[in-house]
Amino acid sequence: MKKDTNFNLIISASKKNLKKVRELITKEMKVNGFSTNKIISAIITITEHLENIIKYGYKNSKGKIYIKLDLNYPVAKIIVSDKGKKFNILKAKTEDLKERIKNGIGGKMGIKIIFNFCDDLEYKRIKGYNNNIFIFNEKK
Amino acid sequence: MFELKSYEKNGFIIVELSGELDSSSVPEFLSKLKKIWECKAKKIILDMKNMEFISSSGWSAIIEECKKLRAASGDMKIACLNKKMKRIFDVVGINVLIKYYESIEDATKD
Repeated sequence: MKKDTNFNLIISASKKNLKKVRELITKEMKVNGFSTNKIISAIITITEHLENIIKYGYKNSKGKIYIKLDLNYPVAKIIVSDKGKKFNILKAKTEDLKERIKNGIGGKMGIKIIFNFCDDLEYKRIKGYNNNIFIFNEKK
Repeated sequence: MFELKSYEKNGFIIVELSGELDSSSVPEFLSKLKKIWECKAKKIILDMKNMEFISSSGWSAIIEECKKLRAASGDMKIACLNKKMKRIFDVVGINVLIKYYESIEDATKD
């Protein structure tokens, strides 16, 4: 029997839904043969991105987040769309956080973590939506 | 699911965290940790061996709690992170603030 390789999930922009997304990614990537290493990279990346959308994109107010999984081993594409504030992650600056951390100040880590854990990233703004495509490749 | 348990060892409070720490579980983490360091000793070791996942919100909470503890003449150390979480710990630069140990034994000796 042919395995399903495409999955869609729509969630409201709420911290309560982060676990649900991680569970979907873990289950379906596993079924499609991805390694634990890649699965963990994916859940780390997507959690950071969703936390950013909820906090900054929708500013903790109501909104929808659309998640699409396109799993064709060895490449997993996770497409996350939102209608929050326009934000091109590829133009975001990653700063050296050491001074900040030394002073006991948290924050600003999400984008640095995303760039470190996903293998490739594309951004498109279409019809008022931020569309981020996170790519995880077992060969990388 | 996120859980927190604690016990004393060699003058330290060992705080065993398990499960996942993200922005949805940070409030629970902060309230439980605060109760521990307000009523017990202020030298804390976070035992992460059963921690599957920590997002940047979780790390931020840990960093800010460490600052508060030190301001109250306490300290915080971290032990037993899994490989991926250790990578975040190093990449982000949390090691400039909080010392890391491979085992609870090592952390209590230093």
